[in-house]
Amino acid sequence: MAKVKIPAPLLKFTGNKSPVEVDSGTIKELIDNLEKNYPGIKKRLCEDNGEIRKFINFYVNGDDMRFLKGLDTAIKDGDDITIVPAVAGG
Amino acid sequence: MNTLRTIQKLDDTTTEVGYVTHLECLSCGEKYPLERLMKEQGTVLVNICYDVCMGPLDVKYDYSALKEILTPEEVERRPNEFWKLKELLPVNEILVAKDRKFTPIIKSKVIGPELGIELYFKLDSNDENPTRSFKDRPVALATNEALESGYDTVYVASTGNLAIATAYLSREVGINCRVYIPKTLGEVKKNAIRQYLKNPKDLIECDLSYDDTNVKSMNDCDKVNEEELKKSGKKKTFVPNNSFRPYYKEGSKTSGTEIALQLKGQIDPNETINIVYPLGSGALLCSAYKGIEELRLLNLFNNPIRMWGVQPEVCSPIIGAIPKNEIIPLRNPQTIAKSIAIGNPGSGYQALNVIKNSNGGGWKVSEKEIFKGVLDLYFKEGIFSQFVGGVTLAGIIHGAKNGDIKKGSVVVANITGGGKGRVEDDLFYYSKQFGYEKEANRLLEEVK
Repeated sequence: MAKVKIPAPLLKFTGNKSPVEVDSGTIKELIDNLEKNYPGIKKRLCEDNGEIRKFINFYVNGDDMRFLKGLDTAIKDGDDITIVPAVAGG
Repeated sequence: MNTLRTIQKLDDTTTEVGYVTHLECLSCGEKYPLERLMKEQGTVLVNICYDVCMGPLDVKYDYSALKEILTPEEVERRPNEFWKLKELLPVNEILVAKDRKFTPIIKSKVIGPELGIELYFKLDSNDENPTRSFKDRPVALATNEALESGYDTVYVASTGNLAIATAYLSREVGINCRVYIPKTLGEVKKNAIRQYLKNPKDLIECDLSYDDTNVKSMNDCDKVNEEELKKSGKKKTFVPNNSFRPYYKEGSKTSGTEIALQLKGQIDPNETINIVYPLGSGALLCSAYKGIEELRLLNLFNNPIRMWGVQPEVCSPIIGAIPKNEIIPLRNPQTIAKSIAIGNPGSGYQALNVIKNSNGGGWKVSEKEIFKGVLDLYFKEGIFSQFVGGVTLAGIIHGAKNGDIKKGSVVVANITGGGKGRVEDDLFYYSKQFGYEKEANRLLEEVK
């Protein structure tokens, strides 16, 4: 199981629970597992074509997933995942 | 917690947050009227499209009411100050920067004629901005919001100018300030921050890129607010460029409105004005454009404008995205223009839209061109700028040479940060690698 930290705007899907434990796999599979447990959350994370929404980012053990393998990034048991709305700079 | 504030409008009705009507998502268009924000979030100070796409929010105003208040005669009557068009800013009571004036706009004597263009320099590097960078603008707005809403602590992550502006204003108004910076920031800039902090331990040097430092400051802010919420039921700590981002960005509109009001009357109303900004997050370009287009909406300014962005070749996620409209973030970008070493630009897509909608464009410039730009600004125009000024000038030179900017065009170069007390160490250090040691040493001697 991986541990997923849920951002404030999405806590309503998990009954205010954060972090939540989810079956691992790839990030794509993790999102589908989140949807199984917390219906409606996937639509907030992904566009209709399955790509992650532009203003959302996943960090895997502190690493930005866009610098790993994106949706195909492999998640192991015990990994820390943080879902972060795009943090703006400057 | 009731954060509703009211002011009197001309017709004796009242409204909240000045003339703000709602926040609107720039990505999906979702509207958040103030009443909805109070009902769903208990505050109007939100930073993202929380109910749909997490996109960036834009502050919208009651423009029909403002048309009656901000008439050309009224605007002409008011002094040229930061809060001149305060009704177009999201505040009720002005609590900071009360006497701040417009920064100067000067006509180029040497470089403009050399390039065959009518070139102006907007000097946000001057001390009308108390810390001599444009960051004094958005920080004033975020701090005003915070004071109006009872916050007492600010955490800020920065490549330098934002930290200096925040530390300065925090000290002025008496709130606590903690600054997070990448370790690689120059010592001169670190000292410029330290001078305003109560305690040297309030400056936290991170072995991280700016983007990751930014995430850290937000995470720490969230943690401390979680505890504070449990204790007192309210948040007391904010990150100026994130927690209230839609309101923060409104401060930068004043860069654009000042340019428009200063040039109006000096330039033929049919003349297109090319306005050039260096791009970090992209927010300044977007806000300045919004400020000018709001003036147009209120019939206060009519010149066509084209917005141009410039980035270092080695850190150009926004300009690089122009052909395909897809921003690919950079990990830990390295450029001498450290102020804009932002690999993950928070307003990148908005900036691309502004550039497209205004029929503008952008240029990428080399590190050597940036350095030469700083030297040219000083020796040819007497302007001692940070490297971002060199970025702007180098971009304009590209534009003038490749025909993007036609001969005789009116161009405004935004010098967004002053060099004095900021980049002396970096100027000296990097001069060797570009073969400009002699010129750099002469500059440093003269500005001592």
